[in-house]
Amino acid sequence: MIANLFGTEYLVLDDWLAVATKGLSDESAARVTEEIQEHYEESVATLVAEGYRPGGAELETLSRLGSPRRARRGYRREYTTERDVKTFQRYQEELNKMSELGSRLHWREMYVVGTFLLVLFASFMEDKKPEVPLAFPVCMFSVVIGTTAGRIALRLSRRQGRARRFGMYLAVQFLLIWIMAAYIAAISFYTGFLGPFLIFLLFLLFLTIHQYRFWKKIRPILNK
Amino acid sequence: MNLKGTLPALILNTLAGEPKHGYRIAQEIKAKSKGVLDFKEGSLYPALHGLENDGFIESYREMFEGRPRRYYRLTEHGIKQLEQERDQWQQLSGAVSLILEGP
Repeated sequence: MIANLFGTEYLVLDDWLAVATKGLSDESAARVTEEIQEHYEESVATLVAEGYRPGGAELETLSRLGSPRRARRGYRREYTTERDVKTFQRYQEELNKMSELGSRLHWREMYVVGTFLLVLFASFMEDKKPEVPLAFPVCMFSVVIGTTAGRIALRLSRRQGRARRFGMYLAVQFLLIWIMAAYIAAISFYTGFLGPFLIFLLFLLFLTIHQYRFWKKIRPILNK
Repeated sequence: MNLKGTLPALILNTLAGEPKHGYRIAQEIKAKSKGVLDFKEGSLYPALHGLENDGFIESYREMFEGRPRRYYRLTEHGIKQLEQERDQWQQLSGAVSLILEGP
């Protein structure tokens, strides 16, 4: 920030960039800084040629760039953030572990336990105890089929490109999560508890949009 | 006027002729619309990056008068996308005109 004789403070380019790139990964922040600096220099030069004073041209350029907070929202949607980088590293480790057929079950594959508890809870609430013993083998069977198919797919994708392999990993994750959603939907309709299912469905939709945006940002990096 | 949702299509159209840098793209959109389509220039770069991630445009660095600049150009995929956007816009604007200008 700079201040004039009357104490009024003005935003300068460095402040604008600091706010706009907050939370972006180092690579993305460098790209945004490079682009905005070029834009800024070009704009100031043009405005000075049109008759602006240099200081006035700088302020006008910053005003035309708009709010850095608003710009940051757009940047975070399209450029990789620090959080994306951490998520990517974590997923990469998980992917390697899941590719090993003999490795222990990942926490996402343990949804069968949670689903079984839900079945148990719903059955007791609705006094439908006879269905409980049936639910467990059905859940177990689907989880074994789902996870084994996923692991085989990941193992087979070892020879493919990084982007395709990572995409397959995300697809396997989604398959497992949406199988869980299907279970909960079935239980909800069976027992009449629609509220918890709708909340869960909203959460899954949010997660799907979030993961799709993450994939869109990560894919070009993996393709490099 | 609010450009919500239409900025990517306007960018693709601006890049139809030749590769351009970010500042010029912004100025061309404003100039061609005679100032009606005004937007904050900071929002241009996320839109450009989104189009690049989708494979519709690609960027490269080149020196101009001793200064490095990032230029953007349409890809084959982007040219097809632009044709689709134009067709969709023709249909939409035609339908809206029929309603607004009707009896």
